[in-house]
Amino acid sequence: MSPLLQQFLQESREALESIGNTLLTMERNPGDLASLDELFRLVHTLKGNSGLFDFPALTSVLHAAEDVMDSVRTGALTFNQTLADQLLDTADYVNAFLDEVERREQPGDAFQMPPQELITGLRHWLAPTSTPESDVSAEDISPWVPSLLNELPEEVAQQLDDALRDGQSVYAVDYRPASECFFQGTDPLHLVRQLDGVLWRRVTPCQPWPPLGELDAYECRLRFEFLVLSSESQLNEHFRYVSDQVAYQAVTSAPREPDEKRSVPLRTANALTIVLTGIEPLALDIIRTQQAALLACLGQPWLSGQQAAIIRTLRSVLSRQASPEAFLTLKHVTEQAQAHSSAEPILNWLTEQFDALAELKLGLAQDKNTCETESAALSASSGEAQANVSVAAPAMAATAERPNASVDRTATRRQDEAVTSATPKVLKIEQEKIDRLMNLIGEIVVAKNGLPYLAERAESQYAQRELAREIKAQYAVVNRIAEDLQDAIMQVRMMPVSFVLQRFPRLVRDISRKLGKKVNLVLEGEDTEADKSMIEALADPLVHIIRNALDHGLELPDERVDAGKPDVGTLRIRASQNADHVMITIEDDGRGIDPQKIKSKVASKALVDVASLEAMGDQELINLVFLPGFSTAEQISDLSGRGVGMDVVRSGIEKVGGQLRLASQPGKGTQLSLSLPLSMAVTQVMVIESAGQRFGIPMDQVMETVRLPQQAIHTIKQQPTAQLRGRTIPLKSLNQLLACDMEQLVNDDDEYALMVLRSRGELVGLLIDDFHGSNDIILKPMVGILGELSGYSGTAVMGDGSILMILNPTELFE
Amino acid sequence: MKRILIVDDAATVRLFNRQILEKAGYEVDEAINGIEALERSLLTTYDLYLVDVNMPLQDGFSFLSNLRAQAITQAPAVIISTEAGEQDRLQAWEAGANFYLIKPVKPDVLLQLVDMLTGEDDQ
Repeated sequence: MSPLLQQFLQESREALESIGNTLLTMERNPGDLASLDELFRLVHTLKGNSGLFDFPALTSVLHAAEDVMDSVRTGALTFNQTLADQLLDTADYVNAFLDEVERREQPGDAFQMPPQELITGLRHWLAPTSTPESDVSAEDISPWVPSLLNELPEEVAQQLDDALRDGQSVYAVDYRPASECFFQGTDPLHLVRQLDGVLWRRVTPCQPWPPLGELDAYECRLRFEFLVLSSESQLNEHFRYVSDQVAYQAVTSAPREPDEKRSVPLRTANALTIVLTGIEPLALDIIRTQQAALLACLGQPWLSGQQAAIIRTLRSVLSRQASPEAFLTLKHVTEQAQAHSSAEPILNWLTEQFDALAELKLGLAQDKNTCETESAALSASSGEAQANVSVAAPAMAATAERPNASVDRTATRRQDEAVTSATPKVLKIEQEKIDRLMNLIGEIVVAKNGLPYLAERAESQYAQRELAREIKAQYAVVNRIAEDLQDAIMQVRMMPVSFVLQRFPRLVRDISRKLGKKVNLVLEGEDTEADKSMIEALADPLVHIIRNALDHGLELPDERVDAGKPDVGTLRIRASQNADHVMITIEDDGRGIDPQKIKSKVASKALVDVASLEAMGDQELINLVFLPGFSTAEQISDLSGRGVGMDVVRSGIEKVGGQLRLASQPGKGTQLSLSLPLSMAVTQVMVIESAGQRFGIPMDQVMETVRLPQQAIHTIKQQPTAQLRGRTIPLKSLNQLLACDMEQLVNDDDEYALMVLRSRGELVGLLIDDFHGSNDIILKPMVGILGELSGYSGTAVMGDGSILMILNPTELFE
Repeated sequence: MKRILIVDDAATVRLFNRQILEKAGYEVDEAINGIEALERSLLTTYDLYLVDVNMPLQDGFSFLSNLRAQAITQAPAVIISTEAGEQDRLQAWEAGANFYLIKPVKPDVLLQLVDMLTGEDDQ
């Protein structure tokens, strides 16, 4: 994918995100001018960017959205709910479009055609009474082409003749822009000007001009006719947005033979122009612009910054033209200006030049007009009023001027004044680069862990006590730097939880509206930071949890009122940092989870055998919602009943080393707490030994380590248990879980080594052979065939180069 | 080598124009708003400015007004806008622009224009 496309995708996504947020802010506060301006600017930027690519469908949708926003901004349209919905739909479309482009680098067939429904929906706000009145029927055209050909000026007729003889395809085009086209974002003049290969064109009013008092300057009343060297497909492409306003026909035969009488004066005049000007059109345009610019700053003192720039521009342009005379004259005139300390001589000179040019052109036009009148008389075509292009064009520009231009500007200025703080300096870095840095730091951490081993060997194997001491001292230094380094790079990867939370207002709003529920979403602690990968891993499970809360948790307004609660439910998402964990709590004040309902559900689905079901307490019953294949919804709704249950949520959270706890009080509400490590990169593990092998167990699951006397183990219902601090804890032997046919070892005092682990909210005792202290490791998930292996979360390379298998107790206990 | 400053808040537009200009052998700098553009102009001498209008913090017109008022540079400045109205153009001249282009700008037009506006200036 090209860097430009990548940039486009990235910037567009960011803009979409902001658009979503701003729309929601506006919904709460429709009169917020700053948000309005921001929204317009975002849509405007998106549209502008899309224009750089060949995404006509995207551009036309955004164009419509931009026009709507423009109307809202200028007060012509009031922001309302329906409009917000439509804009959000538009944002969704754009998002889908971007997805498509991201996947295939270019829009597929489904995205080729502009989404008419969406565009019409948006446009409907703009022109409530618009009726396309520019149907050009076939009857209009047939006589039109020959008459047009007869009206062609001589040199055009010549060109046309040549082109046809060369076998080029020439089309006669009749473009009658819809009268409200300026409000639909169409700039007919621009559109026509952008067409390449135009041989000749003419702009005429569709109907006679009304009296000035009745003239609506914002209504387009023009008709464009032109001849163009082009193919039908090119024309279709060019006029794809206004296809209903354009008619074209292939021109197959040249007009009548050139007329001696007409051709002579024209050819001379034409030749004269070229000799006199000798300057490229664009350069002429630039020079003319300097005239206008100079006029705007004539009142300033001589050689002000603006005037100096104008002179420099003139000099620059003329030096690029093969017109040494003009360049010398400019020099001369500038000296004059210098002598008078005024820019007036320069302006006068320019004005003279253009007057002379205009005169020349006028003479040319008059010549043409006489010829055309003659030819009109000859061919007895209609005597419709005509205007030359050069005359009609300024009128067009004036008409095209937006009614709101001045309003826009004051609004922008106001915004400028309000925001005076400088932009924070932000460096955007690709995640890949950070990841690479992260991996390198991980390697340093592991490599430095080799130093203590080295020190030990120096001492025990080579009896170099002093050297061992120095190595250890050096290790302490390296260790500190490595830790700082790790910390620093973590900071780079840290991002606020708001990154995922900010999309929820929209989600909650959409879902609750679909369900007919009233919900107040409260977000707390959005500034809490966590590792980027962690936050990303959080997104999908959270969406699912929220869907569940809205669908199953919160009741309909009537139901709530009957239960004595306010009709608006509250969904609270709270993030906070707790030591090296991020806690996210999703809490609703809905109907809660009824353990008995769960019980009957599970029983009817036979997910758990009846005997164990009967033995379960309320909390255990509630936890059954995490069982694969469980769903409490009586009706599968299109929201949460998508075949993914809470089991998927749980495994998603657990995959990144997080834990999840569900609490509920029937009638009062449900609370789901997620606890996630701050970072996935470095994991602290407890190294243990069992059956002669070393294993690692993630530290955040270890509650405590104890020595347990053999006689303290009691068997209850065939399950070995132990009483620990007044709690009965089930015991499992690691050797058994790993299917090693060995008894767990005891120490000299006949005590087992016991680790108390927290697994899915429950405490479980794991019997092992011995403890070996904790260690920082870089956890590498297992890949390939080993990836299927359950019971392990991955491997890590230890300081001495050995490989440590990291256990996943939760999977082991299943 | 001629040095050009692109002032636009849209990164895509900046990249688009940068690619065209760099390919044609120009040196290109970017600024994302008027304030940054002014800061850059104080440090570097540019031969040409390509300036967007609608930008956060400081729009293109305000930037040009400041640039011209302080006579920081004589380099030509081109406003690149989506608005085609006469009023907008007038505002551009008043702010100190030397040319006005309407988005989207075709690469060949841009290059031709840039070539003319950065002509040899043998003072």
